[in-house]
Amino acid sequence: MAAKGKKNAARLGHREVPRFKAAEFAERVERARKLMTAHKLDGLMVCSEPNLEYLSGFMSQFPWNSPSRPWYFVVPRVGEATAVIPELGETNWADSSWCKRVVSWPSPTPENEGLDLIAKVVAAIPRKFGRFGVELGQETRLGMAPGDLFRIRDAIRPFELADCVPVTRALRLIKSKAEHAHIRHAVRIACDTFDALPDFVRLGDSEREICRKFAATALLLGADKVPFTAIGSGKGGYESIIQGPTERCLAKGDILNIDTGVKYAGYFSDFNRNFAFGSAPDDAKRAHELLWRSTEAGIAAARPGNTSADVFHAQAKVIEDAGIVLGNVGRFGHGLGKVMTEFPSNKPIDKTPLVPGMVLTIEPSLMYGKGKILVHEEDLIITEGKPVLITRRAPRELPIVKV
Amino acid sequence: MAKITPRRAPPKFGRAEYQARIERARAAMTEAKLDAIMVTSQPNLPYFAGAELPIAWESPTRPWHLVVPRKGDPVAVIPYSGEREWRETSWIADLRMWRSPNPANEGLDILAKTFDEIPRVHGRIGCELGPESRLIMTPGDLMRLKDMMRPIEMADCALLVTRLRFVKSKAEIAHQRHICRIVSDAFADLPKLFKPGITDADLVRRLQADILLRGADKTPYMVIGSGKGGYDSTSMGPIGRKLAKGDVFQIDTGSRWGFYFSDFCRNYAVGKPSDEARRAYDTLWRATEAGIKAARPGNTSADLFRAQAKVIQDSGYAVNDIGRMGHGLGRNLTEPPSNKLDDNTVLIENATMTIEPSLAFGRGRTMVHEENLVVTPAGGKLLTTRAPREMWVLRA
Repeated sequence: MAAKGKKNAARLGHREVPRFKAAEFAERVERARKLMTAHKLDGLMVCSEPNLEYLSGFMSQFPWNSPSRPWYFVVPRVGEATAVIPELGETNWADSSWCKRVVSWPSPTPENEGLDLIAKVVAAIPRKFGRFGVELGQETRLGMAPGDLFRIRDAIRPFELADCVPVTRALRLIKSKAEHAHIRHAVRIACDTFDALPDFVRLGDSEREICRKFAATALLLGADKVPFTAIGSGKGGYESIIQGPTERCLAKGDILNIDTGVKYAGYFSDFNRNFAFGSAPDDAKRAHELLWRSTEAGIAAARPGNTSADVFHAQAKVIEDAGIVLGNVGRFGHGLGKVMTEFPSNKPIDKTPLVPGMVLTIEPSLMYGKGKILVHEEDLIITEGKPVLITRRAPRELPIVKV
Repeated sequence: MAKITPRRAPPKFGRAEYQARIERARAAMTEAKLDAIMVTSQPNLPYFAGAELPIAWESPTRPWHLVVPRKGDPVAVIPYSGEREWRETSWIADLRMWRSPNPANEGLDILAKTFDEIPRVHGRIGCELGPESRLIMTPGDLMRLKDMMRPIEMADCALLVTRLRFVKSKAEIAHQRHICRIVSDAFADLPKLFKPGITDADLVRRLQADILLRGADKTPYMVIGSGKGGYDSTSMGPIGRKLAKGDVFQIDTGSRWGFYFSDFCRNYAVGKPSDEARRAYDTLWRATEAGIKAARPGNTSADLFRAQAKVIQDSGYAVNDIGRMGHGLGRNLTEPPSNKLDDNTVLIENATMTIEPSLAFGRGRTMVHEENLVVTPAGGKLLTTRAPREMWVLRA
């Protein structure tokens, strides 16, 4: 099947997705409070990008690119939320967050980055359980120095420092319609970029050049950021899917995979696509068709009543029934939202029940030939019934670009 | 897509460079009475290991660790799924791996065992606890590790590694110069990307795309402030605002190549700028000159603040409430030290810094300038191509 590039008119200035309304944040904070009660927390403090944005609405590139200053957001179970932030961020905070209670300090002050202020805010929280949650657990990338976290643990006594990840994970697991719209937008931009790929990729381009052109195209099509473009290329197939781009140049007979996370207004897409240039060997074509069917099975299994482990097994069964031994990836897809990879993982030991509103990737992979690997990926939304595919479904047959 | 010929990139770091970094780290460990350090952050792990692991930095699911003993070879404690990529890009061959994700135990046993096997003189191993540390292992796991490694004490190594990274090698400076020149070229050519009525968001997208096509790896940070006669924010935006005649805007960007950052801004006027905007620009241009001249070994980062502030105040302006006028940079967009009055870090030859004066003018307006440089005995040597003497004027 010959793949033609769609006309790549750089669609600058197209209508942006509507921003979140105040009611959305009020609802998130209410859910957070209910979850705090369930997890016996008197309050929580977040300082990582996805959670701080999610709860406060504050949008800024600065805190997450410069480690010089931490930014904290305290949400008590009972009472008003407070932002504890560097002074220079007050205007930006007021412009994007619903939260009006702000205390600040003249960061950077490495000897005390707002720790006194946090202690004061926490001390004023009504104490029922005697536990205050901070982002300690799985998948946390903390936005503050751990040494300061240890100091906070002491400073907030008699509150005991607990983990608030069970709360934030549950909050972000189920996405609202407005969040779905954000993710759809990011996905659409990535789909359009893949459609344009046969136009902007040339034989002789290095993997690095291809990744740059891919990211540049995605930006011109409306992405905010393209933080992640992994690439694999090789004659008759590729051998790696998570490596950074190399100087290897694309040649006739190559199969190319790009796996991308495109970001828009704080939400990610995450999927990959395969392209053959000129021709593809039979084993690659068969592997592609097998993974297409494996993906179908994963999509069909992505329903309430099933778990993420079930989604893994559905994909794995199709591959194993064809006589292929599974590779070393660990999982066949994962959650997706404000972070490129989120809870849950589609793997045997993850029995997270699928619930309407969740966003999941279906991502089977297999080894074939001599050390070759092939991967597929789609993004979908779990509904009461059949899932809704957000990505434009990859073709069943490996696309072959005319060269 | 416009075909731009990228600048010739400097060579990657060789084994000798990494070995030199390890040796300097070992000397620092001796002084700090540490038996080893363990690093797990984006600036520090590849600094020693050379490993290129984009997935490690974008997906928080799996942690990656590097242990550098004072005596003995470095050990990487990484997920099995990363083995191939590690071996292809890192010179470190001793890998101890586990099947991740495994939330119950993300390699902690292996770390504790590795620590246990290290020759014990001081009974202390440094982890990245101190200022500006951003770990890719969870704090919960770090706390568990602290207990598991007893009787070995968990100390801090963040300050130690920050100090090591403060002074750049020739090869590192070449990396920084490369990205600074790429971005400088892009800023100079911005008038070609501009169209009256373009939104700030679209201009930023175009500029990011342009910087990529010129050979940058990524632009994680690009903000734009704009307004009639001037802007009022230096670290915000884009907000979807249309740029029109009478506007003055600045774009501040952190782009990176080979894991080294540039961090600087440029100012533009749409149509002829007002006298007060031009005067503010002129003042900041001269304040930047003063900062550049003061960037000599022996001066402090507080001296850099003072040199810039003096020009601003002598021209009749109040100095901005931003806290600092520049900072270190390298593998992070912003690094210690800060150019502010209470930071008395002594500048060392081959440190790289930003000079970043700002001032308040008119009704609630602010303006900022920025350059990146290397500290030399003759004053700062620019990595960026100097901003023009007057701001670029775009056709309205």
